[in-house]
Amino acid sequence: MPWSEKYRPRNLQDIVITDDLYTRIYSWVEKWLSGRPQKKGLILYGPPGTGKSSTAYCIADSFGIPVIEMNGSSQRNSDKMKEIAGNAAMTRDIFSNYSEPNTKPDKIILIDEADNIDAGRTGTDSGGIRELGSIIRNTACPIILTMNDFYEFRRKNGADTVISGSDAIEFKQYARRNDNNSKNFRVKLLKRVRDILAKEGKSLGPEILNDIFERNGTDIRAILNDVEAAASSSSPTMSGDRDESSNIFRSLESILIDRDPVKSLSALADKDFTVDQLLLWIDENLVDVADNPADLSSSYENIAIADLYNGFVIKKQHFAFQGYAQEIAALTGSTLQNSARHFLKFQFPVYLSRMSAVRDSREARKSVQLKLARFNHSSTGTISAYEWFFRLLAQSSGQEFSSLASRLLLSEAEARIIGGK
Amino acid sequence: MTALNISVKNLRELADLINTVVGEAKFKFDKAGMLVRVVDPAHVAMINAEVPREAFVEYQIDSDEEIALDLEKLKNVLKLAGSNDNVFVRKTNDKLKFELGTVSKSITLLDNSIVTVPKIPQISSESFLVISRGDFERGLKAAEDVSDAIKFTLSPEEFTARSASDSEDSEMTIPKDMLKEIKCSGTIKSLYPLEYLLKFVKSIPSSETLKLSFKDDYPLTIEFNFGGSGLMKGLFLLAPRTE
Repeated sequence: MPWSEKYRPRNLQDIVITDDLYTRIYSWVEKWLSGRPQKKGLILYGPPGTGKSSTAYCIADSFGIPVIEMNGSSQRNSDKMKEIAGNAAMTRDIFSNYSEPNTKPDKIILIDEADNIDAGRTGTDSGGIRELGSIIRNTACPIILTMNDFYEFRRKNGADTVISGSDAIEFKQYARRNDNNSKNFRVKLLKRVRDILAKEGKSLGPEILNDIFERNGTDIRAILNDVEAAASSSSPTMSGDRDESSNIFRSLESILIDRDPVKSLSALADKDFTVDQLLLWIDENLVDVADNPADLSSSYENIAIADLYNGFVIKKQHFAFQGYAQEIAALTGSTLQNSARHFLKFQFPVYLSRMSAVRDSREARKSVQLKLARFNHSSTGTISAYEWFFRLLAQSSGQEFSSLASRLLLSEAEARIIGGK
Repeated sequence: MTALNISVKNLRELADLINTVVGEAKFKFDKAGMLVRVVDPAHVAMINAEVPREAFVEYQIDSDEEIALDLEKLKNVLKLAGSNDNVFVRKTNDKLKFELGTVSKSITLLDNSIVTVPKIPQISSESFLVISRGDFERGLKAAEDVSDAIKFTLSPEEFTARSASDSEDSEMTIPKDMLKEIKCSGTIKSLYPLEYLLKFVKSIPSSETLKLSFKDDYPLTIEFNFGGSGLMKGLFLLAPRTE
């Protein structure tokens, strides 16, 4: 068993978490000790390996109550959510101590990786997130949700009720290197790692530990893996950064703010988003970064070229063009003469959110066009050019239109789209 | 070597019963017989089933044994057999081989360490009633489309099961002379999740009577015998709803 599992913290003394973060989490827990609070859920978000789930277990442990955990994608539709989290939320725990009066929560429900829950648009499933929202509203016991990407989650179907019923805390150990929290973190981390090494009967020099800590930031799981590897090898030296997939925010920061071409390119080497998304994000945020019009114009020119290459992927049916698009896009920042040095909150592309907002009507339009095209022995393109005809028909002769609609088996939404109402 | 022979009907009923709360279970074998104890992932219901060796046609074990199984797989194998058949089961390394007349089939065992056996919590109450399975099921079914919880009330005079929503309600009242047995000094009541009870009762068609005990806002205990010969002993525990 790897050390990161073997020494997964089981109580609050062992967990490496700054006093500051601990206090904020604990203030939510405390509200539960005096009746049911308004915010019944707690969202902990942050990068993997930093101890979000472990914190939930340690809180439960400090009260001697069990954790009902839901994870794994098979458990994520609304039925499973209702069956496990829903039942647990409304019922007492079978292992609870029934000889004492029931004043405190007797379990904690943990929804791990909540950002992966099915938002559900398939079939009759109303979506695990929507279900989770109503569970949080009615729950009789505390619910902790962990997730990596809070911003992604926020845009999902039904996420608003989950968020409004919960306190959200970013699982960030410290804001800057060498601030008080980071020192506090370092002290606790060092103590924990030394404890583990002592239990295993191993030791590592301070330079090696320092090297490992520097390399892994606040990812404690990665730190323990490295410590284990270093402690077990005969010549414990390692160098080089851990491979880490970069998210869109980090890449934008390196492209638009740091503007080092080499770093920007390497930030894209292992990305968890597509080039299309990258172009949209740059497009959306460029205007906030570039201070003067000349800069703005030249950098838009640059992503226009990148977009052209990106288009070649489809046009020429050759995937290699995407590489050019990506590299040109990565250089957008270095074409800027001046740029905003102040803190920027990157905006989500408006194009994507609009497209997703009108997704249902787009799909209805597509399907009605298909039906009409088949009926008229024409292409959907032709139908789309003659849409005005059907709209006119609906306005001037409702009866004719509805007989057409029933003949084509148009749904209500489809009839509304083509009828122009 | 572990070799067993048991009636398909008994094994099927056992698998259905356990499957109402979990998908995977560990069966423990010793000299006295077989034991299964499971708790559902939400920690709401627990089942403890004891199958004495007399309930088997043939029961042969060399030493104490544990077998962890996927219940869906077990049920699929049993579907191949008729209700009146017997099934011969043999364990070989990491497989369990079933012989059903002309058909034989083996299924893979699960790793014993990943399926845990829970402890039975300390639960006891003075008051109890013994009710026929049919009467009990009727009361539950009446509540089925009303609410997702049902309230049991027991007084020295009668047992009632009541369920209510904003618009509808259902109630079953059974006076003491229609109960097989009753022991109760004051009035006790407690609310339970209905779905678990319905699934549970449906899974034990051969059981004739159920012994229910509970007290105010306290887990419900149901003791019952099941299987064709009534030799198998079951215990169902259900946590109360928070009101």
